[in-house]
Amino acid sequence: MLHFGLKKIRRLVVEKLIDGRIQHEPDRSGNIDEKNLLLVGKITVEEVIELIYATKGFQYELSKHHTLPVIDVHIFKPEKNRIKWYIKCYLVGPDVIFISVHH
Amino acid sequence: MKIFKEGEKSRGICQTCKKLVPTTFKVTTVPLCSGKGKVDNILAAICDQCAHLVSIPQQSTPRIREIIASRKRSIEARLPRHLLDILILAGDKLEMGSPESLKDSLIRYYIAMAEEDKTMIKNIKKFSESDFAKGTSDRLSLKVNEAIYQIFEELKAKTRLSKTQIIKGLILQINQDILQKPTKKLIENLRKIMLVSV
Repeated sequence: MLHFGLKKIRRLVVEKLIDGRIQHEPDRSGNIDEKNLLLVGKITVEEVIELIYATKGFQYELSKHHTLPVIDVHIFKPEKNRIKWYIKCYLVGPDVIFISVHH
Repeated sequence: MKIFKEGEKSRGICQTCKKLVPTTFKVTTVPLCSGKGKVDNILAAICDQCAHLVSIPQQSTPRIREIIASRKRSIEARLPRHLLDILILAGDKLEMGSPESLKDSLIRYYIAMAEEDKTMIKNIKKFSESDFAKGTSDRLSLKVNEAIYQIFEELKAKTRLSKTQIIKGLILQINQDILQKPTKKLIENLRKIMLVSV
């Protein structure tokens, strides 16, 4: 599995966000995760793009998917207007799939 | 923006099969994780192997937001009888039919107004601590939508008052505006607002 740096990942995720190739994981029971603020419409795609661009190197982590550890999960933890954000996603084919978008 | 179609294929991690699976977009009903409702007829990616829900596309967001926004929340407060009477009298003063049905709309409007009105916030604090606000013999249960509920929560945080204190303060502001020192302009405006909100 190839591991990309923040710069490359940021570009890939933002490209998919701009193209609207966005999906969201449900919670573990298969329900709508109301804490995912992008899924429930409390934050816009444009705002998520800004947050991803605002993420500095030390605010990015590479992790593994809790269900399938061979899948890389990208965690962005930017801070904007003194609010700390937590954005967790992975890439599958042409799409970005979000696990969490909350603060 | 990519728009997924019903029957279109995709891939995702199925939490039941615990692997990357092919999925098909289907129209389905998905419950909210809070247990407070469900969203009907949204497109979602379903696992081709076990029929478990794998993902929800961004295009389903407006329907989800609409269901969450229309969900009714409840604000409860214990009040003295005379504060409930003030609400009924204020509704009566607007001369628009049943004052009982106007009282909830009046408080909801004042919650929304208070959010950005520093003078009103100051008044709420002052009124809620007055002797006239004392007492807990009756109960008010106010049904509000998610947006008003969030504004109310922000008011609580801004004023550091309890739910009951804020409701008491708002009712005494209504008393001031509609019963004690009414202006023709304010009453006219309130009539128009109540006309569309009741």
